[in-house]
Amino acid sequence: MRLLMVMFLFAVLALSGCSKGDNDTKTAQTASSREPRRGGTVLRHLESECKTLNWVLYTSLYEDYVLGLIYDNLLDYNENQEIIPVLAKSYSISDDHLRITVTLNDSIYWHDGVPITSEDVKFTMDKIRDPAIPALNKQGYFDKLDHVEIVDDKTVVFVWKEPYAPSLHALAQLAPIPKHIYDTEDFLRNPYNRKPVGSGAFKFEEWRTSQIISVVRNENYYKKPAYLDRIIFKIIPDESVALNALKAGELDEMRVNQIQWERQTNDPGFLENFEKYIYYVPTYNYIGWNCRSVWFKDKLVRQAMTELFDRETINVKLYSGYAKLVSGPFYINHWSYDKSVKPWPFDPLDARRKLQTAGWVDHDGDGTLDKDGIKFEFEFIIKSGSITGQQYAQVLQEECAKAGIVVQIRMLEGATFFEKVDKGEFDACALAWRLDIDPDIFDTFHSSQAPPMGLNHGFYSNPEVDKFLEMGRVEFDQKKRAEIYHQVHRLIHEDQPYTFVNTVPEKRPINKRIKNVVISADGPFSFHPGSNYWYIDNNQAQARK
Amino acid sequence: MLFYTLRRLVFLIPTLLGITIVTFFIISLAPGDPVELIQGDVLSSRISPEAYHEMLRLYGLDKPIHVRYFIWLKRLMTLDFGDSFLDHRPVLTKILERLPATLLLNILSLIISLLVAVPLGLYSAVRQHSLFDKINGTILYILYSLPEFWIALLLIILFGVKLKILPFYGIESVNANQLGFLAHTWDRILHLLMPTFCLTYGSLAFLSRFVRGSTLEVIHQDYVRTAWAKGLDERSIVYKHVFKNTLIPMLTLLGMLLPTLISGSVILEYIFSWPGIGNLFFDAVLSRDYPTVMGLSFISAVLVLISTLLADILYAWADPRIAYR
Repeated sequence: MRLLMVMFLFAVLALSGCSKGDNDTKTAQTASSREPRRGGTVLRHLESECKTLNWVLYTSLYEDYVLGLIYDNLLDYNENQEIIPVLAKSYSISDDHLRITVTLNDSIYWHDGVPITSEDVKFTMDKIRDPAIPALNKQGYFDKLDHVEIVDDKTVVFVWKEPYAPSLHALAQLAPIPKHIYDTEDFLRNPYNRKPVGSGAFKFEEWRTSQIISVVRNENYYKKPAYLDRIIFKIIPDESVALNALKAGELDEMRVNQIQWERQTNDPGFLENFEKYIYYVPTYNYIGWNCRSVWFKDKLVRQAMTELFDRETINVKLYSGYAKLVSGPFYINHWSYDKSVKPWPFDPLDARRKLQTAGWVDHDGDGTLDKDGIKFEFEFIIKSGSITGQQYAQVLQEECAKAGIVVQIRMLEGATFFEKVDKGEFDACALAWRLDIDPDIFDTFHSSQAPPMGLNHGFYSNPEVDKFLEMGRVEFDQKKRAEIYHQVHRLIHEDQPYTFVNTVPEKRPINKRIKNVVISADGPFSFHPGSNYWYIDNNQAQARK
Repeated sequence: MLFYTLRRLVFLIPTLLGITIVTFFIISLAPGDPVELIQGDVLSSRISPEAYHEMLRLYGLDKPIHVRYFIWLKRLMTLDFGDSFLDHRPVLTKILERLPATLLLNILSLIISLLVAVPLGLYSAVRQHSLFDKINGTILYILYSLPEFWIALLLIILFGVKLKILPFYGIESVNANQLGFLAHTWDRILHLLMPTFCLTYGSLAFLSRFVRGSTLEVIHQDYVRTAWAKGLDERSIVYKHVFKNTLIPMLTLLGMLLPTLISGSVILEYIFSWPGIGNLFFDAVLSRDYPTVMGLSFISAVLVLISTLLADILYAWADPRIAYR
């Protein structure tokens, strides 16, 4: 299972005139013909302290930033969302799709000089699949893995229980860790969890708790070594302090919020020094309906709710027009997203017609719709502190009131909120998903995944969708798979178990002294080689110590 | 006196037990379970039901709450606060790692505010209604009402970004390791300036008004009037007769200030990226990291109890009329 509730963490959004890095990737600066200069330090921002730098145990985005430089995956995505071998030299898939044979590169070494072998790969898989180890971030990818066979020093076979289309994708999430370092009695308390030994273009250097984490160039990298001497991550939790640090030249990049993007980073001085990037990461906001509740069990009512929710106005007012409306559960920059499906329009009149068809009429004349003696009065839960959730709820409340529907907005503290959502104890909730690049959404929309254990929180069930989701998991041809998921997209759009709202871009100014910044469809770090080959321009380098 | 102190110390134990029971049950009964919350932070995947139960077992959360409390208590006897749920490191290590930064900031701030506030308050009281008293009072009220996070941001923009003369985040520069002792100390001092100022001015204003108030009360006592009538000089009246008697309310106040040494700077630690206890506590509560929350609460509770005891003992020292038996 690989989706994450992010609860409007991306509450705020984008605003620049140019939307860089849409579908096709662009290089920020035209590469000059001369060889980039070696040397220099890039200062990056961490919004929060890392908990661990053990690759198997890490869970947060910030840990991912750091570990992404220290470790190379067996396979990885390139900037065009294609899977390429990285630490592996090559891979092959058996005809029955049950065995993936991976051959490692010949001269690859851990940062301490020990060769990387298939033993390390197997060891890593064993740790990920060990139930006593909370490998939360990685475990879900390998549910369908049966076992790993070692053929020789450099060859391993991943044997799957059943044909599983996302299996290659799973291997693109796998970076081996060194067995000789981590094979100790207490894996969770290994001192190397705070000073990792890796395989990537950068080596771990130092971690000062709540202050900095730094990595240095790996001179013995099996590919072309990086140009930068060092990357220092500074842990600055307050975002306005971080922006000041950015302006003072104490940071080279950071993720900014909407107000900062619109109002605090547009003076000529800033624009002269920074390139402002905006890109859509795989995430979307939605309102989830409980398909078991007396009100929302009818898809006509759910469609009506969507038509009552003015997403376009929200986009303009809340996001200055830079969020993109979404019509279904896939990443907008991916082949699985069916662009021919358009979001439901904002149409209160049609909504009222649909409600009437569904039997919701104001029989007793008290101003509120009712059916079989039940009033249309439901509870909308939002997480306290989620400004976006609050605004969504208010907009919906207002339009519903006009249509004769009473919306009770209830704010819940984060932990309580998620508990209710996970148990499916809600009428409506405002949430967001972060998606995986692989489009398998079995975990969130298949009827077998209902609460309390699954992620289909709203008890959505459509046998046809179930059938396609099962097919999508065993279809290996991308074209056919795309057609399957387009079907899913259309069916879910029709059923509206969610009111799909929008996807909000990430906004990140990067100092212009850094060259060779590549922004893929979902940002500068989410692919191989990511920021490995950033370098610092000669002329602008002296300006900084 | 000795007997009194001993008796008080013995009474500390049931009080502490009571505090830990209440804290333990409140934090454990608060909605949200740590395993669930750790998952919520997960980048891309969710775990299977089996793995979920395995994690509950790993954290010892599969046992009933009272059993968990006694396990916690048993470990506490050996000063073992357990391991953090978040990174599996001993809670004590995590606290000790951050304690110095917080203590440095808070003790420094307390000393400075005392050094400034007491003379200011005394002088204002002695010269009540003078121009100095009025101006001083106005300034202190203004200072007291300025929110520290706002002042902090203004100072950061002025000294950190515009003038570029002061560092505005962290406790030391990135290259601090390579600096010599003097340079390193200087670096620390520069990093301390803004946080200390922001932490100090509010409590300074408060303390100073407090000193003024309690001095005024004393100044109008008969024995002070008598001293004036006897023709004693101002210096000895203020220091010998007035100041000593203002100490008692001051001690009560200081007793209350001691616990804030580890918890008083949460907001400023956040703003100045100060690697202290504040952020640790905040994160621990949000993620229901029970061992860390309990460890920190326990230390706070001990500090509160000890400081009230200290204040009581010091009363006797400051005022011979108070005698404990």
